[in-house]
Amino acid sequence: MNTKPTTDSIDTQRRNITKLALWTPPVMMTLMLSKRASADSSSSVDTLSGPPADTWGSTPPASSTSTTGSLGGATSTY
Amino acid sequence: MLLHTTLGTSHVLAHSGGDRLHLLNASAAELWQLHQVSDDKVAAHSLIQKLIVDYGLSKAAASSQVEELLLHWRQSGLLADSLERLPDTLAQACDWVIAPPFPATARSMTLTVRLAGLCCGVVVEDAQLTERLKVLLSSVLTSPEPLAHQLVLTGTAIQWQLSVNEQFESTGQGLENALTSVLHTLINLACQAEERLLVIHGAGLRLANGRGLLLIAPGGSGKTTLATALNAQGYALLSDDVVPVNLAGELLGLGTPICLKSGSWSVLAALRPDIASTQSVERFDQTVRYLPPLGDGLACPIPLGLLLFPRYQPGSVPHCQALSPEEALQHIIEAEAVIRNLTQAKLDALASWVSSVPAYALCYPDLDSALALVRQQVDKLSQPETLL
Repeated sequence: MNTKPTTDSIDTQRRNITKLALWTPPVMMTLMLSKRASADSSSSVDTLSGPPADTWGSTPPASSTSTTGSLGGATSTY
Repeated sequence: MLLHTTLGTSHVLAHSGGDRLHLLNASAAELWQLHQVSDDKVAAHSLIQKLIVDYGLSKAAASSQVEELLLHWRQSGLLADSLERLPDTLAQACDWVIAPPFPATARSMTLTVRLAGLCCGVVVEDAQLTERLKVLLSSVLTSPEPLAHQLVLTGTAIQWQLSVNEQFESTGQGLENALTSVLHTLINLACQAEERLLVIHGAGLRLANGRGLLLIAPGGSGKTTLATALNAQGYALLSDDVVPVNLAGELLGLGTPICLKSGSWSVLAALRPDIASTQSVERFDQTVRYLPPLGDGLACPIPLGLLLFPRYQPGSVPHCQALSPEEALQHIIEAEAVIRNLTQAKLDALASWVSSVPAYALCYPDLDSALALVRQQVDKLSQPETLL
């Protein structure tokens, strides 16, 4: 029974290491779109019932409406 | 219906008409594509095998990454077996009372304004309100022409009511609230988020080469101060706070007055000496001053040239960092851009638009540093054209 030469094993290991180095864990980031008021019929809802921060031009303090998600609780790679 | 497009090395997924975008990095995108052509029952196995065979991951690592990714996709409603969507929160009943508008009287005066190519009439009953609105809207006043919308402001500065196209819009007390409401309503009408590719929360200016510069940042980042300074140095201003982008990806100029908070008045005093003589207005519990933009108005849409994401950080070393299209899109959405009626065509156009120009994050401790950083990027932009 033939056994593989040692050099082949080393080559395989090298290839595997190279392949692994190419791999970046998969990440999906979810970005929530803004619910700011706009000039459609629903804007009346936002404008009348929402706080001033929901209106254009109010430049409210930063309060991001987006959320990010990533695998395993890791920070996104972006 | 699930929409998809590519952006840089990433993949973007979204539900048609949905309220969120999912950015998959290159690895997640590769697995997503394999999942799409796999039988649901063996999809997980196929993905795990790919990671083991193609990338040399251990079985445990491959299984763990795939299972987490599938869970994430399922929780986000991206998989066929998880399409039970969240209840539509927009379908909530509205129970406020819509008051009929007061009829405009013979004393009313009509101001005609043009924003983002849209002509609107503003009928004002009260003489004091008329005079203040004339000053406030001086940069967008135009000669009478066919109107796309008509606003009617009835009552007095003490108690007023605003209607749009004969529909009740808002009511309130006080002259300053009335001014703010009229301005806000006009901007909303001009933005027409449903009909735009997107509406940027940021300032827009026109560069010397005729292309548009967008300064995009959340509120309080100093973009209005920077935009006002650039406007004073010769860049035409599209808007200091919100820029509609049409379906062709072109920027539209609002021409509305610049709204400066008290913190920027002294910083801009040398560039805009007229700040000192401008009347203050209380707006949403903040004292602001409205300044007309300098230079000519921007009647025509202009193509995008440069995306900058400014951040004022006291004590920082001024620096500039190039951003990938994925990072640029993330910043745009986090700065509360409005994207409505998402379709496949819009998603493709959005990805193409974000990828079409350079994007940089700027960080600076003062206005002079910010202006230098902007000039540096603008100069860089014009170099290839100069060489040609």
